[in-house]
Amino acid sequence: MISTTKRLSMEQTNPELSSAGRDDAAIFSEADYSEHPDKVIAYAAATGRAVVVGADGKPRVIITIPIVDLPTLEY
Amino acid sequence: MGGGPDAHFRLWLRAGLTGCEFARLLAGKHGSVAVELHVDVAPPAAWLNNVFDAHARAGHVVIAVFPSIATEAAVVDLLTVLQANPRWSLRRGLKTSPLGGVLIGLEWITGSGDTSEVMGFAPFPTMPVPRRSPYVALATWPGGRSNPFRGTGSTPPARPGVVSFLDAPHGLGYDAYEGRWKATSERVTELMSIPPDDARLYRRATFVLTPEQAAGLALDH
Repeated sequence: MISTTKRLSMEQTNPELSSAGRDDAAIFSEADYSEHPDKVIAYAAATGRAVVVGADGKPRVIITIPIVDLPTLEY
Repeated sequence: MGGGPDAHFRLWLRAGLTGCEFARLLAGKHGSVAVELHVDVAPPAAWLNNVFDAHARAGHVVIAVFPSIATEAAVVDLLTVLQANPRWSLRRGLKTSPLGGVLIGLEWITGSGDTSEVMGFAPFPTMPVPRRSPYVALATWPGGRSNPFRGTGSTPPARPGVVSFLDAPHGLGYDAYEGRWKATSERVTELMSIPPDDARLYRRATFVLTPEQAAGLALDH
């Protein structure tokens, strides 16, 4: 069981991310990710993104996985 | 997908700037490629082992992106840390790049005991153009043999106990698969024509470093 999983506004917790256009994401602790990587990755795969934060509340790892097929781009 | 370095890296792949038609396809395919953006410092090797294993169980190609690693010296530091873990090893290529760069192969032992050849990306002039990316990154297929067409047509045959991106699942039929191989070969050859270079040099090379920086690594010759 991941006890520290929360759904928070990025603007409340991580202004660095909100400034990059990320307005919402699941927040996990480093311990969450270390002890339950499958659950954190499953969450990212289901929602498109998960953020792992350090004890200071700052983001350490951002995991992104497309939840739909994105269009192929042309060069 | 947001606008940070993770999205930038994925966009770079999807735009086909590597010349690889498979990277272009898979980077935008639902549930296929996980990008792990390490915001400030690179994690310990044991952390990468743990999460790479988890991505293997989920069937994801994984790309660890390190925007804070911006020099060759910092790449050497990263490789030195990884090499200290028993699941990671470094190898020096026998040849050098046309510019005299040292070819460094990074290998990782998967959860099932195979050796996975890690692909590196970096924004350094020493890197071959198809892997001269906006950020330093390590990319790997952490799973087993999942490409039904490995060893057929244009695809090099598998080597016992070794996996790479050539073993990643792609979901294509044979004709589409073979077509992407040919398109990739043509595009990469074109990208590496001026100045003349040879993609075959880099098949097992993760990074290409200047001799001065490579001297800081403990390498098997």
